Amino acid sequence: MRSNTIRVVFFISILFSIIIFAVAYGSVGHSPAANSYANQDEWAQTPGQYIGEEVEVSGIVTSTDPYTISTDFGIDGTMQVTVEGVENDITKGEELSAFGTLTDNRHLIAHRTSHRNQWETEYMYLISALGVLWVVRRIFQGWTVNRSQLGIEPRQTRRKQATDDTDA
Amino acid sequence: MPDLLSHALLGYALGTALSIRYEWFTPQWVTVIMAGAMVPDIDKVSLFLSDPLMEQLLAKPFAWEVIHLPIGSALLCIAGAITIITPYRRRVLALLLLGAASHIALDQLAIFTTGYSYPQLWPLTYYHFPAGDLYQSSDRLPALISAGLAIAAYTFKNRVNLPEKPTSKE
Repeated sequence: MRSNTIRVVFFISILFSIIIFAVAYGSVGHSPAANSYANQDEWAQTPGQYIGEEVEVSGIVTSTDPYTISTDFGIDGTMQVTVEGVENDITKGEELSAFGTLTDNRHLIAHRTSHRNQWETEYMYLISALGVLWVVRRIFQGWTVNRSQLGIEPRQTRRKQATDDTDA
Repeated sequence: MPDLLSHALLGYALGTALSIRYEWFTPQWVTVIMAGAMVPDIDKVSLFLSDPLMEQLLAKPFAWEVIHLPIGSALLCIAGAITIITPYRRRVLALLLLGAASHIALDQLAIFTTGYSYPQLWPLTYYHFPAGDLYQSSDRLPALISAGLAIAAYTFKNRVNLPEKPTSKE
């Protein structure tokens, strides 16, 4: 049906336009006046251009005296960055994020830091996966594909419905 | 930005609250808001196909983060709504957008390393908004609070509806 062809074309165009917007957004330079700062993917390969500027970096703490974090950047780069101005109770193995002034190629004086244990990050990913699975399950319970109209529609009755009251 | 379970629970609470107000708002529609609440975090595909990798593949700058902005999320919601058959399409679009908006609003309250969140109004302006600074994305409290809201909404809905349900057929 012609209207379905239009829908498919429109769908592909929207996805394509998202790619275009992603390229456009990726092209915008960083601007402290707009509260936008470079992260390690941007400054790590050409740190000289950022010395004296505020940047952000995050990684795993490998030493506490002085505070040093090990972090990845770009596709396969890794580096060690010394961070000053960090509170004293952060321990080795924790994840540290810092925002501050780059004073040397791999040296930052932090104005703001946040830290967390690696298990907290793992918890975050695990519980996020649970959230996604819950939503996906609900989608399969409540919606179905209408092949003749080439689209998705709500089911007449939800699948695996024990009683009318439960909807979790 | 909290974990996705917190976003799903907030979407559930919102949808359940709406289902109290509107007769037609069945669990299927609650699911649509919840799905919308997942949309902005589709930018996390960058964990598998990083920005630098995409830039190498396309030979152009690239930032998945645009999906987390209102403009990127709105476009994805439109794409999602196109997959729905005509009678339901507009409603799905509206609810997906509502869910995505709830996600963006909740993320705005998080701690960001620089103290500023996203340029929500891009491409109108590149201004990054000050972040709410209330919680880290790995904190457990957001999930507890949104679970509380979800339970409250569920309880209220079932208490409100209970007197109208026939308990026996005669």
